[in-house]
Amino acid sequence: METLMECHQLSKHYGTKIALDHVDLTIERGRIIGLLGPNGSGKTTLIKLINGLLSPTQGTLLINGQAPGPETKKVVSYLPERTYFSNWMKVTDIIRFFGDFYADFDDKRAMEMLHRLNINENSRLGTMSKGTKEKVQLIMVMSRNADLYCLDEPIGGVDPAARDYILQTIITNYSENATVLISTHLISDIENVLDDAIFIQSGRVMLTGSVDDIRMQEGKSVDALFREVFRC
Amino acid sequence: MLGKLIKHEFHAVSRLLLPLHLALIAITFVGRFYVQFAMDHMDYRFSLIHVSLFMFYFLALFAIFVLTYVYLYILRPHRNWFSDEGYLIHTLPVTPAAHIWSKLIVAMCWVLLDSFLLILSIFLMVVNPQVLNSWPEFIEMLQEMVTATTGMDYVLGSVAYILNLLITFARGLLICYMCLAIGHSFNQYKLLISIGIYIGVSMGMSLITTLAGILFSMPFGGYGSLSLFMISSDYNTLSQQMTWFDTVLSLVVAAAAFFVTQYFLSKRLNLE
Repeated sequence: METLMECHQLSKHYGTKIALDHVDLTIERGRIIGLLGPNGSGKTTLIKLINGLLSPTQGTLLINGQAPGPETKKVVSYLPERTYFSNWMKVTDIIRFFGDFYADFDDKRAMEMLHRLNINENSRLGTMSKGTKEKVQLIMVMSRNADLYCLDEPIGGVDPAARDYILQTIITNYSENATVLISTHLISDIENVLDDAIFIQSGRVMLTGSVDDIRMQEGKSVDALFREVFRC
Repeated sequence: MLGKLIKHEFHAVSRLLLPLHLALIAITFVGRFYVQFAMDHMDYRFSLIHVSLFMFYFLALFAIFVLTYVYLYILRPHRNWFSDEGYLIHTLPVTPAAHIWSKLIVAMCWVLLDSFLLILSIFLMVVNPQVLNSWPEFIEMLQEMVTATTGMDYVLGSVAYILNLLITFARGLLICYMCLAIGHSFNQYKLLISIGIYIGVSMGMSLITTLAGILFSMPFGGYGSLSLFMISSDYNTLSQQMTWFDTVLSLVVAAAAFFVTQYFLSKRLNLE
């Protein structure tokens, strides 16, 4: 399989706090990967490093052989764990914005998904609930034909019905050449769609492997294993 | 991509600044008609109301001026680059240099438009036949002032003055961007550090300008004796040297601030 992203000895420190500690990781194309770990384990830090929002303290991170920059941002679609659109923006403004900057943005796909979730494209973000804003953001991110989708807690703030739709959206909207990296604690909800899992704790990668192998070797679900490994 | 960034930046910035400046135009027109009315119907019983309305006009003018500058120099780059919006802006496939240029170009356009409208507003408020009659004298005075401050003839002096003004505006904006970018590369006290760096840079620039003044005035008998003993031609030479020095210094500082901001946005971005 073709390598999409790789990190070598990647570390990130915030002052004296170590968020990532000498991480070696390879991500291949065509996979749906769960980035799983408790709060403060380094999941968000890793995703921010992939997107160039943080700079590594040490080590390297390459996407398609390039360090994060304008070229890698053309092929990485990122959903942060916070809402980043201004409240004054209408959904149509956001569609125009994405269309202007991302050559791989499919506005027809975005409109289709908006209508499926009964979101009016003329509504302003400021008038929407937190959950609806998150749905809009996810729709924009998944309407790109990117190589790598980085979804940081994509299902945390939405209702179970929307959660199913979102997961369905993720599965149906990525090509076999693309990879989806999903960071979450809600493992049972996404376990069925995952190909691979990465367990991360205290900034270190504890376990990587395919979900099927983990189930076979450990004799339990990824969710059960997660609860065991990260027991408080 | 720069064109698209500028388009969206104009759209976002104008949402606040356009209504603000339309309000300025409205206040000016209402004020102008009120002034005309008050002058045509002189009634000292209403003098308190006249004074209060004039006070309101100048306060509104001042508030629009301050708000425009604070928004363009601090609030806009801070919100767009270093708050939640930064998660969108810094994941666009755009170079940090394009981000800086787009902010700078749009802010410069608004700063110039703001200055023009403020001057026009004051002019419209005070203009009357007497002011118009003394217009040639005013222009003459302006020419003398340009010659005195730049040490050059009126045309060249005006060009130097406008060039200096534009570069000074750009320098101010770029220094603010730089201070915010450096301050936000830290994990804590980001704004406090930004302010500290701004104070340091301002003090450094004042020091350099003062030292240059002393150095340039050496051949003419020293800094303290300038106004007392200098003859006109010496004063012109010194003014000319100082004008160009100030312009070149501003340009160098602006360029340095641009590259430092670019470095911090590309290599030291820290959106925690």
